[in-house]
Amino acid sequence: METLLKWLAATALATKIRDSLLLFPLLESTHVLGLALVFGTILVIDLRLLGAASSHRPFQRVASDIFKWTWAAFALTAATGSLMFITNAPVYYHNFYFRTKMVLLVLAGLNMLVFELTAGRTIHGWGDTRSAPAVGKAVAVASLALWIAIIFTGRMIGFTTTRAAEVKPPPTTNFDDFLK
Amino acid sequence: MVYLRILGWAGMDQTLRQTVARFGPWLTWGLWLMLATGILMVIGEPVRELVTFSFWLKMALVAAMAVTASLLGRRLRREEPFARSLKAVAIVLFLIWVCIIILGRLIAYDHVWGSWSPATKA
Repeated sequence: METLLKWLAATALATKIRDSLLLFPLLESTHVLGLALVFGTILVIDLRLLGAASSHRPFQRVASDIFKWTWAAFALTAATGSLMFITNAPVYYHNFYFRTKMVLLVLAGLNMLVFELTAGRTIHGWGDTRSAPAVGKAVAVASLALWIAIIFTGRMIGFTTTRAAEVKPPPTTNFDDFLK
Repeated sequence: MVYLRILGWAGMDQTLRQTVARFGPWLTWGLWLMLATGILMVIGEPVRELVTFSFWLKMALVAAMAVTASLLGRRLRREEPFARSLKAVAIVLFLIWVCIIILGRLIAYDHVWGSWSPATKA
């Protein structure tokens, strides 16, 4: 495992991101944009399950409208997250918040599976009503808690791994150079 | 969601007015929440934030966008159908929000601006 992590961090791609002035911040920004979309769209779904918003729209319609955006944003977030991971793989891998976040992501996936196997099967019975059956509401509450925790632990990774302090970019390359 | 609806990429079973009514209050409250937490962060570390070029550019853009959004929201509530140019407006406004997010992250990396950043002079 250690060897794999070191190899990842030594790949040409990881080195390029590390050495670049702008790539890492841009990856972070794209990650933030993606996670805002993931959380925002999931919030719409969960509030619909709870009957707190969009309750006049059939659940299937809200879901089919929005899930493609959730998945697209999730793909973006996963891709940018992976790229940030490889720049310093050995450090992230051992980071407590990183590990917790990965576990929470798996739990969020399992939570979705629970929904598919329970309330998801009877959707034709309740899709047009104000809110989902109890198990659907429980899934929605769990989903909100999990995603908030995922965002929190994700931010903590940045505070507990000291990449910024390690890598000082050369002072000669900055916005001035673009203007020349 | 509002921009996606304008572009016709989501929520086509609802009118634009319904979409604005559905998400408008959330946008307003979200902005207030971010303003409150943002102010707390600035108070917490004023030197780090206030001497960065990214911060001030971001604040200027956020202020402009908040005004634009409330004007646009008011208009969208009033009239329908809408001019086709609204789609172009939606794309431009979305891109400005993307810039704001990137600038927010760049507050921590303000040296990329070189001599434009007050931080590098200090």
